[in-house]
Amino acid sequence: MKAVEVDCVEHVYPDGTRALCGARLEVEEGESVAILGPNGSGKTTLILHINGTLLPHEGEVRIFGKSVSRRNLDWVRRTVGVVFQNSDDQLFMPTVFEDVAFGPLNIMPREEALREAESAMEELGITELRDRIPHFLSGGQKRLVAIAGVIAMKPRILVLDEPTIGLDFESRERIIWVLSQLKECHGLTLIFSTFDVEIVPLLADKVVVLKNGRVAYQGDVRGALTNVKLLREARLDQPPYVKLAEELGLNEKPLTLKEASALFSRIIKSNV
Amino acid sequence: MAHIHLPDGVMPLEWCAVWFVAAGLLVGLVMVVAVRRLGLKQRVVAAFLTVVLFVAMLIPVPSPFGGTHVNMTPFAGLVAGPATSAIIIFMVSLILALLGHGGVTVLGANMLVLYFECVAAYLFYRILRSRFNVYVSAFTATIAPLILSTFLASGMLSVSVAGSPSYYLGEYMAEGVLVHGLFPEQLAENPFIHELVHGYLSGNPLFHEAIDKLASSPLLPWIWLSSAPHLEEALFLMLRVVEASSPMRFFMVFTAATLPVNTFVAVIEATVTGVVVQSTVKLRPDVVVAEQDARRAEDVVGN
Amino acid sequence: MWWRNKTQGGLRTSSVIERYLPSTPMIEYFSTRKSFYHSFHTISKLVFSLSMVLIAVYLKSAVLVALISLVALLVMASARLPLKTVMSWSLTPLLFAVTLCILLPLIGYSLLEAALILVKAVTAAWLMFLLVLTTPITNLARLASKLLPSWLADTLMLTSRYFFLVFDEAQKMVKAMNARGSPPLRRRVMLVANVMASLFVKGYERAEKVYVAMASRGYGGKIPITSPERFKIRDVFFVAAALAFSFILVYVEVFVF
Repeated sequence: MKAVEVDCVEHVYPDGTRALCGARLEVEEGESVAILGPNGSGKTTLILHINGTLLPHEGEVRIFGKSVSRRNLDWVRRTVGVVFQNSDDQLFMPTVFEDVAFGPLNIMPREEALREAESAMEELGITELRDRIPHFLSGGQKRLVAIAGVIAMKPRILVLDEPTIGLDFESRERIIWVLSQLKECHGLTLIFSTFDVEIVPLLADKVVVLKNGRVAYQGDVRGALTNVKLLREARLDQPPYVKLAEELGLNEKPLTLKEASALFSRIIKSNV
Repeated sequence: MAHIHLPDGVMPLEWCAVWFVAAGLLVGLVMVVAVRRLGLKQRVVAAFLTVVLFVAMLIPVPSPFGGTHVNMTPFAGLVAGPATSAIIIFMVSLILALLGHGGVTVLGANMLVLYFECVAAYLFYRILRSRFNVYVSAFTATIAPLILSTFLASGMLSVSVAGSPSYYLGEYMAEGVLVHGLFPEQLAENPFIHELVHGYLSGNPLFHEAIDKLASSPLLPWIWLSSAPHLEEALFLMLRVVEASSPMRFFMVFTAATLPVNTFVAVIEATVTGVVVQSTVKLRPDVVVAEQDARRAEDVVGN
Repeated sequence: MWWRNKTQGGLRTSSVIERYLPSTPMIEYFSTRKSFYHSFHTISKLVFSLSMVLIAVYLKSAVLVALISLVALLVMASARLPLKTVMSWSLTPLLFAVTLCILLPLIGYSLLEAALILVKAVTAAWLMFLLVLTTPITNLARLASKLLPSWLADTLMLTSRYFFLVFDEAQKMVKAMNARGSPPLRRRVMLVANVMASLFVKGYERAEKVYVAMASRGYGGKIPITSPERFKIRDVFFVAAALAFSFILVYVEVFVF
């Protein structure tokens, strides 16, 4: 079943700027999609449409076949969880636990909501942050709490805006691990925008490249990350292993460390 | 919001209650009405305006005599409009009171003065904007309410502190005459005054009333002049008691003492607010409510 | 300062503000310490502080006001608050009271009465510090959202959450400004004004973003509260004692003095 269908959405901002006029996007349930694109290409606008925070002036967004409109916003927001780029904008409650419980308390009975909040925190390994004040958390911790707050609402689709931006190495690894867990174990549909091309092959099944609000590419990960011209247009670099393989003139282009080490050990063995 | 951080204790409780009721009626009513009109988003915006104005208040502004702090109330009025600024004023006063700046019992009085500044600034801006540019309008709309509020604040304070002559004129006379021997002996021996003071001390309401009347009566100077050993001394004492008896006198003393400082601060604040409003209007004209309203009424000249 | 090392967040706010006001790291540190006074319910502490402030303002007898100051001081000491720092914070209300009290003898107040007003102002400030420094902000916000209508409580909750974040940003901007040298006065005033303008626009934009985040998590006009703070037997006794003490003070004032 198609989890998300975006059909030629157009959004006009109050100052008259038009955004996103050629976006046609389809995401299957359980699929994981990376949205790539330069600044101002409409990634965030697209994300806000999927969640119903912005409603299209023209065109249609369908979640599990249902068209998003003012009438079913509650259902849409329960189905689609969004983690925003700046965690500080998302953590508005006085303590971590209250923040995680905010969403569930708005949509579920109290007992169930508190239980969901607890289990979301457990799942992300942040139970010890429970009574801390968000102001004093590190960037990585804030991001995890923000994800927990969304997960606790039991969404079927998880949308993340730049999940790894501005994080140190360890926090980044942790976020990648958490996201792949959510995808593998819970079958969540994952949609994330990013500049970090290295995480794309680790997490995504499919890549969408946006350019000036239009979908410039929609297809498999390998096709996108080995296409130099496309990536240049999206002002992105290729993953380092692809670059190395290109430098060495190899036909096969490894996307991840795993693939690269397999490739090079094979080459080394065949040379020996 | 530097000038009327009245601490607890300066006003008698009954006057605190009066100002609480007045503020409750004015600010509270505006809040309830305004909030019903505001969307959820505007409520969040009000919270953030409170935060930003509060922080801006704490930034030291360089001035010829060392750093000062700006009040930011006229600015609040300009950017938030008269409705939302009621919420902002309530929140700022409450938080300041919790942090020991400005008392809890005088919250009502503090809120009234601050809200007056907001509304006055908004009105001034709307009137001026049809003839002047953003900077001049914002400058004037800041300086005028701040100076006016000095009068308002000392007026309220005078009424509260000096407004019940029966309370401390009598106390003062009794203490002065009987305890400290401050008054001329003949005055204390004057049978009329003597009886009056004793009557007051015994708690007889009749004497309270008599003292009230006496304090405002033209007779008082003559009693004293006739009983004082030295004319100068009598005049001095007379002046003090008449001052004490009348809120007007306290008003004049207090205003004279605070006006120069407040005017100086208001000039700096107006300069700063002018620049802030000007550059905000350039960046995001839609967030300055006063400017937006003026434009909607097509009542503006160029920037 | 010594308490910085013990706070979880380390150095977050500048020391400038701490001379005048309690800052969040300080509030967080002191309000999460353990003491008998800390263990009372927020309502109990609120009742104590407010009733004492009211009574202190009402009283005209210097002895009784002094008694309240003494009680406030003792409770602060028992709650392990930094008395020296509290003294420096009480300078601000003292300053405001002094400007007024200097004028009072001119209009017929005795020196004792004027001095009493100073004591009242400082005592009231102490009682407020006592409340704020022994009660986690979250508990105060939760109580506020029970007592106030939801639209006001929500605004208060957001304000308390974002105040120190924005304050840090402002500090950074001011520091960056100062780091680029010391231009003439006029220009410096302009720079401060520009810092304020960008602070304001940023704040507005942040408000828009936070609203989007709230809306996307189902915000419908009321922030849900989860506090399970329990009103214990000792709270009942404490509130009763506070009210009885207030009553005794008024009784003594009216019938003994």
